[in-house]
Amino acid sequence: MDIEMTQQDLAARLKRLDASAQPMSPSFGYDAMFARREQRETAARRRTHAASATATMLVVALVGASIWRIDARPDEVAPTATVGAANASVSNGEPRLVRADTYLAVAALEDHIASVDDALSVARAYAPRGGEVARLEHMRAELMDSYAQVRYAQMVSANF
Amino acid sequence: MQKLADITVSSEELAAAQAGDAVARRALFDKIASPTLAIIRRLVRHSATAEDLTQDTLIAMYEHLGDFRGEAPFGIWVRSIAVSRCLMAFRSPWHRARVALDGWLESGLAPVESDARSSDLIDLDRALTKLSPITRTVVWLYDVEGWTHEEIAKSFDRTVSFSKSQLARGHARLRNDLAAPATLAVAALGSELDGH
Repeated sequence: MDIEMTQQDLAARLKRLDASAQPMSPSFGYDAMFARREQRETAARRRTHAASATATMLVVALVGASIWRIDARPDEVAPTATVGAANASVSNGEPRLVRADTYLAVAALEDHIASVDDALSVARAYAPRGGEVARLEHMRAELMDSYAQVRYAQMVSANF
Repeated sequence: MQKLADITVSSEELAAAQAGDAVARRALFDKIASPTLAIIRRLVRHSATAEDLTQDTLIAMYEHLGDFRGEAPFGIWVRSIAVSRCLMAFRSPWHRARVALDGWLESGLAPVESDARSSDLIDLDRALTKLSPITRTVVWLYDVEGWTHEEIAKSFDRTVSFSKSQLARGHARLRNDLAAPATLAVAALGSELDGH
């Protein structure tokens, strides 16, 4: 292989690569395409509802946690002996339930993605052209979308 | 496989499809679907996303079939829809997050399958996969699809210098990646000779 390669060589190789490509067909036909779009739109609507419900829950949880922190202010705790303990709980006053929930969701999604990856490896090994591979790849893409959304929600709540 | 840009449709077929004739619309799908997927797969790489974008492109094509005036070949018109769908996907924050996560998980970005068994083309395909989606798209559109810098800049809604710099960056990365195995081999041979 040449170490030095001109722009023309590179362009010629890219064209050869294009010409050598195997014919590929989408996993859906004409009728299935419209059905698939309908399914995707329904799934997108469902995801939007789930995302708004999650966002609402996060806001409620954050507001709740803030109210709880205001209620638990040390100057309102009467006995001197318990001030230390109260301070300890307040200084560590993260909205713990919210964080636990997102961690659990992230862990569950990561596990699910890993299991889909395993299934995908098996499907690719035994039936690389089958519909199962396309179905699993689509499922993986949706899971990655959800994963990105949860990560984003985590980031937003961390900076709230 | 026929390139998308080379596909033409007769005015009778087109008129029938525009009039809503189911057989003509289905024939159009059979003609255009595979080459559309092929170019999208070259730009996007993620196979499930490429299928989704192919579907979006084809549905957009049917929805705007009445707008096609035949000023350019049909395949070129569909290709411009496909490229604009890909660019929209690249701009989406979810796509960017997915690309980052895919890079992190080192999966999901398989090179496009190729009949070519020659190692230089396999290496080139791998090197292309390593480029960022934007750079890869600029390189592919310029070198393979024959777009000019002006056309690329217009479709990206950026300047001509953007297109030129992305192309230069892409070529440099490709040259680097393709030269690396040879450089390593030469270095290994050199050290072996030194040993004797």
